[in-house]
Amino acid sequence: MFCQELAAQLARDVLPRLDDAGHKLLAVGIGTDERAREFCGHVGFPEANLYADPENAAYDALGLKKGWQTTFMTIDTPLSILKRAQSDGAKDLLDATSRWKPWLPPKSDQGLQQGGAFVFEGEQLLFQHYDPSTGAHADLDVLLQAALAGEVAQAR
Amino acid sequence: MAMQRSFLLAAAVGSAGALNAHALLKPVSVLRATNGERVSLTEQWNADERAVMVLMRSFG
Repeated sequence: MFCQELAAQLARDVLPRLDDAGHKLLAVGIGTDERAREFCGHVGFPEANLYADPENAAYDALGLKKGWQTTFMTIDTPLSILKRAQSDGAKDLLDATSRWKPWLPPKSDQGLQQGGAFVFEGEQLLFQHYDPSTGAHADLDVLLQAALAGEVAQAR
Repeated sequence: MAMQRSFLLAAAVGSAGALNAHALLKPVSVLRATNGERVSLTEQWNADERAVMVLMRSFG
C-alpha cells in the first residue's frame, strides 16, 4: 500500500521534473519481473523506469533496514502517516488504499525489508535516505532538490 | 528549515560515502520490468548522468 502510494507520487511529481532536467529515475522493488509489470499497470507507473529485485540484492548491498522492530515497532510509521494527514489529508495514501491489492514477496522475510532513496551523479553519491520504518519514505521535495541542485546552481 | 537541514546533511553524506554506495551496488543485477532482462543496476546510468534511485519495499 505504501509502495503503491510512493510509485504513484514518483510518476506524478518526480519523473516529469527529472525528465525535463535530463536525469534518470530508477525505481526498484522486491519481486519478480512479472509482478513488476502487474504493479505498473495497477499503479500507472512506467515499466521503463522499474526494475525487479527478486533476491533483494540491492537492499542487502546497501544495508537497508530490515526486521520486526523496524517494520512494526518504531514511531516513524505513525509519524509519517501524521505528516501526510497534516499536509493534504493523506490523500495519496487513501487513494492507494482504495485500490490496494495485497501481494506477498517471494520470500517471507522480504516482508520485513525497508527501502530507501539515493541520488547519484556517475559514481558520486549526492543524497541518501534509509527508510527508518514502513512508509517513512524520503521527502520527495528534498529528493528532487538534491537531484536538481546542479541545475539550480547553474541558473544563478 | 528542516528541509534545508536534510539537504545539507545529504550534501555532507555525498563526500563521505561517495564511491562507497556505488561500489557496493556494482555487483548487483536486477530484472527490467519491460522484458525481464537481467541487467547491472549501476550500468543504467553513465558517468556523466545523474540518477535518482528509489528502492521500494515490494510491489504490494
